[in-house]
Amino acid sequence: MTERLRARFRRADVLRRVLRVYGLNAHDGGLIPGVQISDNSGGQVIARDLADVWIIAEKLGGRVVDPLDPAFISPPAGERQLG
Amino acid sequence: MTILGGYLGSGKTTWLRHQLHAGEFADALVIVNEAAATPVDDALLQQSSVIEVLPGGCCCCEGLGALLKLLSGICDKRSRVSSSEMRLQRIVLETSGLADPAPIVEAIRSDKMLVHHIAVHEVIVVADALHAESQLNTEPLGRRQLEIADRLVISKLDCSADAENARLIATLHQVNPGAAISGSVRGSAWPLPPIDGAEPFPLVQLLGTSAKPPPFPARIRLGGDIEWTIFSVWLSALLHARGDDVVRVKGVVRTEAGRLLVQAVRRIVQSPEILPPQDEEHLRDDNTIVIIGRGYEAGDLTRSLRAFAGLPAP
Repeated sequence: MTERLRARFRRADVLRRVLRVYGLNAHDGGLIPGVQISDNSGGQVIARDLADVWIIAEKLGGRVVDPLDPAFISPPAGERQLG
Repeated sequence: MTILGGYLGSGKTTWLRHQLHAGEFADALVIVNEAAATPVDDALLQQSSVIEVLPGGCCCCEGLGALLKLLSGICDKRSRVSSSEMRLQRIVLETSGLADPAPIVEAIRSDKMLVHHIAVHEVIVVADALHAESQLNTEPLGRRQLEIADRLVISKLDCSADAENARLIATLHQVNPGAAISGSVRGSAWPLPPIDGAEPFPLVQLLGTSAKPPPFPARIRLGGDIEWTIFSVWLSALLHARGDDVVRVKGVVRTEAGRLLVQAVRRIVQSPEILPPQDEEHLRDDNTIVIIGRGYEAGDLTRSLRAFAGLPAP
């Protein structure tokens, strides 16, 4: 496998992990350019590049993917301080 | 002494790099100040044979003491050179994008020693054709920088339409009527469009409370499990969601392709530039990214990046 392809798969792994929070999925089979973004109701769009990914995810998921969303920056529930 | 200022990402270093390359300021000692403790711009300015880096704080506030100390040292050294020899004639200070040039000028003028050795010849401020209007209307600091300049250089003129550029020039004439204005693209001189009665942009009254809080620098470390692919996904999402508040991203990342200089201004990410190999001393700062913004806590950035990488919070 070429380094470029490995990087594409790594990128798809990161996208899957992040988009899951928004009820979306990402898939890159490595055969055609771009990343496939899909929602739970069968909607599918190919994103050409990373900037495109976030625009499509916003359309499909109905809200902006924000890395500073509490889902990403809050400690797990067990570690949160009560009160 | 020439003070070169301008808001974060306005193109100060690009402009200065071109001037040095073209032989301007050839006799000068160049001082580069950056708001964060990780210098990046000096890597870009290596054409200059004499360069001092002043990291660890903006030189108009918390780094002002360090700047004055550095200047005193330079003056001391110069005094020891006999008048028959070649003495240092000029200093160029490139301030951080978060610096207000006024307190720097004031501090030099009110320093009992420096006032006899250093004359501030000119304050040059770089204004970005794409973002200057919004800085004038949302950033009190951005407006102060443009107001105090003796000379304004409008950068990135090719990125914006002539009609918009003409309006910006009309606005700058209003904000700072005394300043000479010139144009630049990637550091080279560029003709300004005719103003032809262009309407200045409306300017809001910037009162402390209506303006956004000032941006602050935060550092994140890459390396180990957080490599380039993860960082590039994370950064693109961050700029998509928070591009209005993340005003500047800058750093050197070590990748298999070499040392990449990563830079973004608001939502615009520049193609990474491949930097020459560096000696051990500078390699320490590689893989550190400086992010200047607001609307979050510094630690949020690292927590978020680790979540993107699937790693537990630090």
